[in-house]
Amino acid sequence: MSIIRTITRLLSGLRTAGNRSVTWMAPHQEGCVVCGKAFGQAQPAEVRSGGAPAAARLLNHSLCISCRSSIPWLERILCPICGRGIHCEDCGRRPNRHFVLNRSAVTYDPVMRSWLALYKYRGLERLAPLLAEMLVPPFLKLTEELAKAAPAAPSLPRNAGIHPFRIALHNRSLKNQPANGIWDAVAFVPISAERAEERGFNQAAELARYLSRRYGIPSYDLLVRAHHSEKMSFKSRAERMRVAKSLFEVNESSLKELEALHADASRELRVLLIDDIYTTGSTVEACSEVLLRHACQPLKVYVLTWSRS
Amino acid sequence: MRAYLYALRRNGKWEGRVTIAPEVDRAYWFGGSHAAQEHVEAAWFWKEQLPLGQACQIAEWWRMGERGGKYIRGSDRRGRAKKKAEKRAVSLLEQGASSDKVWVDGLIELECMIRLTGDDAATSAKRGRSWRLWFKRKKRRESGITEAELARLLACAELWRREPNGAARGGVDAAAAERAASLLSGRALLSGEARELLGAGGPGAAASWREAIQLAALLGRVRLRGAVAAVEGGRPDARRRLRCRRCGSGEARLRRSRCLACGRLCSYCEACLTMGRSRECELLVEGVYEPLAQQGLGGGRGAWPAAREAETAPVAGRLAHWGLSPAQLAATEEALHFIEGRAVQGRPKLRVSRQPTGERSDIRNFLLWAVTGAGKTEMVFPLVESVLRRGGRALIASPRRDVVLELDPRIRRAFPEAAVVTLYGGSEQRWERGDITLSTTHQLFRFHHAFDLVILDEIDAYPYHGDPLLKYAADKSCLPGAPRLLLSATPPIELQRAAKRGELAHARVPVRYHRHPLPVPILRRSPPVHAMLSSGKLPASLQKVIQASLDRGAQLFLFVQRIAQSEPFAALLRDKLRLPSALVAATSSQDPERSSKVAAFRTADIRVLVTTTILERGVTIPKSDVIIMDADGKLFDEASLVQMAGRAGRNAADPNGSVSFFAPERNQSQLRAVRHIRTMNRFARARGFLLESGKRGSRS
Repeated sequence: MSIIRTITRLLSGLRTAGNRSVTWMAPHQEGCVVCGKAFGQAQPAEVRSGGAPAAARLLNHSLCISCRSSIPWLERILCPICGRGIHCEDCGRRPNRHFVLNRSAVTYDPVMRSWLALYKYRGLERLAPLLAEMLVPPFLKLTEELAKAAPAAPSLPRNAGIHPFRIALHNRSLKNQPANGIWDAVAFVPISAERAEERGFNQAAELARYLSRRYGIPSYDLLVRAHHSEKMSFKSRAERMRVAKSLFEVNESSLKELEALHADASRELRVLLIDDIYTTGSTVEACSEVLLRHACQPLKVYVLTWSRS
Repeated sequence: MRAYLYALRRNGKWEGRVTIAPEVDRAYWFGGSHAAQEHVEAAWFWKEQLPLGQACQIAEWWRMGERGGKYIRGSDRRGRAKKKAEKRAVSLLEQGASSDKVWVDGLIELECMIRLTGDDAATSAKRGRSWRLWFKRKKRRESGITEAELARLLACAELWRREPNGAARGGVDAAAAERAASLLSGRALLSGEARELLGAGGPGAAASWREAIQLAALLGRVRLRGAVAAVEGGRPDARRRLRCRRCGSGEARLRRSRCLACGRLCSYCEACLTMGRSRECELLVEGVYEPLAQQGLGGGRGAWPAAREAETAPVAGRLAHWGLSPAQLAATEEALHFIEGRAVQGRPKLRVSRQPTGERSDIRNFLLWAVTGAGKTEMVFPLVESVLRRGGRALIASPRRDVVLELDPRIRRAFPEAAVVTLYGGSEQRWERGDITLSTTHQLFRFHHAFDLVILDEIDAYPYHGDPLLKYAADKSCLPGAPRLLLSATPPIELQRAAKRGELAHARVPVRYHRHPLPVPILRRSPPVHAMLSSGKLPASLQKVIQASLDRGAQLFLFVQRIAQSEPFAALLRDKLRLPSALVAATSSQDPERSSKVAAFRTADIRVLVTTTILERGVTIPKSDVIIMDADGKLFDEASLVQMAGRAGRNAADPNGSVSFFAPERNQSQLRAVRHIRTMNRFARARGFLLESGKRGSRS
């Protein structure tokens, strides 16, 4: 017994050493990614990070203390639908919602607004992994809730007609710890071709890609933005709802592929839809609506956004 | 952004060209209304858009190949591509291709180049795709081109030839191109900024900006390049390394990411992100400014012409009406001779061949080392006048925005007829181009070879000093061969050395314009500021000095080290000295009301201003005293102490302001600062510039 214990201890020691060596070997960072201030000698390791230690490491190593402590984590959720920290009437006002619920990482306060602007409008793509890492706590919490409610999906057989890579990815996602077969796909809110040309990247897609890679959930381009609209941030609530209605279309081939992969699934398909910000919910509502309309199988859309305004 | 590529056959040779508006190029070369078409035979237009960075790279490599250069160390990739193309073309001709396919070698070369620079070329080379495939391809190439391959190639491209009827197609307004060229002259702008600039002239111009800029580029009035690209020319191994053309940052500040605008991995520059994103597939428009040298004064490009005596009045006469003091006059005269390219009479010509290390060799630097309050601005006026008189453009740049704003009204008063443009972050005059440009050094990123005279004020100030990007910007704004004046009261040590060794032309002004000596700081002992704040006590000596200043009706600058100390220390002063709270204020770089507080200080509504090094220069208060707390602190070096001490006694009515250094210890910086000030005073006395010496104007 004692040998086994020794070996276990040795292994865990090795693992921590390995983890630490990663931080030692990481390229020397000259300062905080956001404010550029140089780090003090002593960066306290432990910091509140939305209740999840998983998010802590990257945040610890790329943010200074004052930036880290200025993150307004959304930990106490009072509206079970839109994930707000206050009770809200919006969700009551929308009788036929097409997504199940929304969860956000942070409250959209001026500091978060400036961070998002730095990334989205300035184009500081260095921030992408950091912002995506901030999605991890709500993602894990949501996954946990779902895992409690329903048993995991079975592993996929090697049946014909589906690309073997997809099957491998699917099966790997089952083995991979926390996601554990809860999610069938990660999707993201698309941007228009004009915006893509101008900005050079899609922030929601980058966030989705990060989660997909980290938890082994396959990512799909399920949606296409049909036509270019003015920036949503210049619009009123009613305007947003009206415009958002006809904004999105489904990428048929991608949806077909997803459905074929899960043709004999025992439960409905679960899609995690990612966006950077949830304001009135009209964007994700429009996306979910069009997804449900085109889906041939029962499908549920869960929304995960970076910030909740 | 994406662009089109075509191979143009001119004088029997193929050249690769990039365009952002293909119809303009077609009309230009083959339309019939331009004179440029003489030796143009045909062109192959590649129909698919390419990432702008790639297209520019191809054109650049093509040019270099014609000059016989190699692209990458150890291999002549384009040379091989060309050989292959020739081989394939020959075999095609042997196969008896029809006559309109004679030019197909240009197309094949074009295609080879696209493949050479394309992403799949890079990845396949890296991943070492299966050798078999490679051999197969090689074999096929050697055996020449097949009909099927040719058909595929021909489908990708379009042959442009002279139109039989000669009508101009897709004709652009030549006037619009002319307008765009003159607006863009001397600028270096990203496509979005260029569009904004053209749009500022009228809504119609913005709509067809691509066409206008493209025609201007064909006419040689602007250059279109990738904003982040490999260094042109240079050694072969350097050519793979990318650089931001706007701010000069190297790979360390570049970051590669997947780009939706061009569809491949594409680098962007993080260093100058605040001025719009510069990236590989982003267009950088550089307008060509016709320098003074080419505008009728004779001399070749880049050569600064010696102004002819007959055209310019004698120097003494021109300087007379500016009302300068003898010391100013002597230095200005020297500087004027320098910028007009003449040797000072009776003095040996200065050796300027060797520049201080790291300086661009085609800029002629002149250091004007003038003490604080020497009246540098007035000395600059005659120099600016000299350039304006010859129809040139002058730039006065400073690292500090406050300094620029203070300079603005003085310049406008001195040159009422000249068009003055003041540039800083958020300036209204952003898109204007004037005879005199006042600018923060940051704004210089948007210029390229744009000025006949560059005057750099406060070269030792943060953030210019020690920032290679701003230095790059300042160098870039200067026309090749143009003179550049460096102004400072406390030049960086390497410039001081270069001046002493005679490698840098310079003039010293050791005295203030009012011809009184600089106030020498008095060193006093006191506890550090943080101790005063925690104990809530002010030492009696400090109270006495402050009281003395207030009693004599002077304004008081009180410098502290840290921003966080400024506000608490102001509160302590109010409390201990029992002053009305409105009379004491604190400000720092993070204070949004800084400009209003400085204005109130100027009008004497605020008597005591607690501040950091942010106000160490540029602010002139007629009757003022200076107290520096924690003068032994790390943030206050010699230059900074001299500058802060220079806030006192600037006005002729009150030339003897008091300067006190309070610190727990005396350190080198304080002693050096005192020595610096004493040396300048001694030098002034020796040259007879001081009033007391009684040798008034002996040299002039």
